[in-house]
Amino acid sequence: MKGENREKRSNGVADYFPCYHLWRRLGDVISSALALGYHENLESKANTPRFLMELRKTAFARIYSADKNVALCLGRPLRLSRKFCHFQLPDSQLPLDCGQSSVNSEQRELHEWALDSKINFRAESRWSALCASIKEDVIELLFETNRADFRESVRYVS
Amino acid sequence: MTVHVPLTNLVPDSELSFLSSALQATADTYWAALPAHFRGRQASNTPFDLDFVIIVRLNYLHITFLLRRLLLDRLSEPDDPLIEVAVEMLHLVVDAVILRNELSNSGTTLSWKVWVLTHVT
Repeated sequence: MKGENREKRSNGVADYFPCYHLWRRLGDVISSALALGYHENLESKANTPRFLMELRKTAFARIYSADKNVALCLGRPLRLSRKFCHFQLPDSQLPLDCGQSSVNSEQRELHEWALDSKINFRAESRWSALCASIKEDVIELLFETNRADFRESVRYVS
Repeated sequence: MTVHVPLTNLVPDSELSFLSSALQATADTYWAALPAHFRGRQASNTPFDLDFVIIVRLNYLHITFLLRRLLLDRLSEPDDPLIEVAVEMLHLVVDAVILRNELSNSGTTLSWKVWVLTHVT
C-alpha cells in the first residue's frame, strides 16, 4: 500500500500543465540573466574582454529568443520584454573566439549584416533574436485580440 | 465581480491590419538584409550550414505565419496565404527530418523545428 502511494506521488503543478519543467527552468535562466545584468548595455562596461562581451550578448540573444518561442508554443505570456532591456545583438563579423583578427567590426543598424558574415552559432543567435523582437510585437497583438474576443463575451453576457 | 479589462486600449481591426502589415514589412526588411549565403542552400554547405539555412528560413516563415494568423476571424477557416506559409514550413521541417543524419545542430535541435511546426498545425 505504501509502495502504491509512493508510485502515485504527485509532482504538484507539473502533473497538470504540459512542459511545466521547461517553463520553470527557462524562468530560472531569465532570472539569472537579469540578475547578472545581461539586459543592460554591455558595451558600457569598459573593462570587459571582447570575447566575454560577445558571449554575454549571445547568451542574452538565445534567452530572449527562447522566451518568445516557448511563450508562443505554450500560449503563455512572455517574461523578458524588450521594453525593459538594452536590446543588443552579438557581432556577426568577428570570428567565434574574437581572437586576433584583421576584421574591424563596423557600426551597423541592428538588422544589418556584413556581407562576409560567417555561418556560425553567433550568427544564428543574432538572427533568432531579431526574429524574436518581431515575435514579441506579435505576441502583444495576439493577447490584445484575445482580450477583444473577451470583450465581445463580456458584451454578450451583459 | 468586476472585470478589469482596459477596453480603451484594445486594438481595432483596421489598426490590427495596419500593424500586421508594418511588422511583415519589418520582417521582410530583416530577411532581405541577410547575406545571400544565409538565405539559400548551396552545394558547398556543410551539415552545420545546412541546418543553419533551414532554421533561418523557418524563423522568418514562423513570423509570417503568426502575422497572417493574426488577421483571421476564425482559425478554423484559414485563408490561402496562411496555408501556403504552413506548407512551406512543413516542407522545411520534413526536409530536416529526412536529412537529420546529415545535419549538425547550428543552434536549435531537430525537435525544436518539429515543435514550431506543431504550434503551426
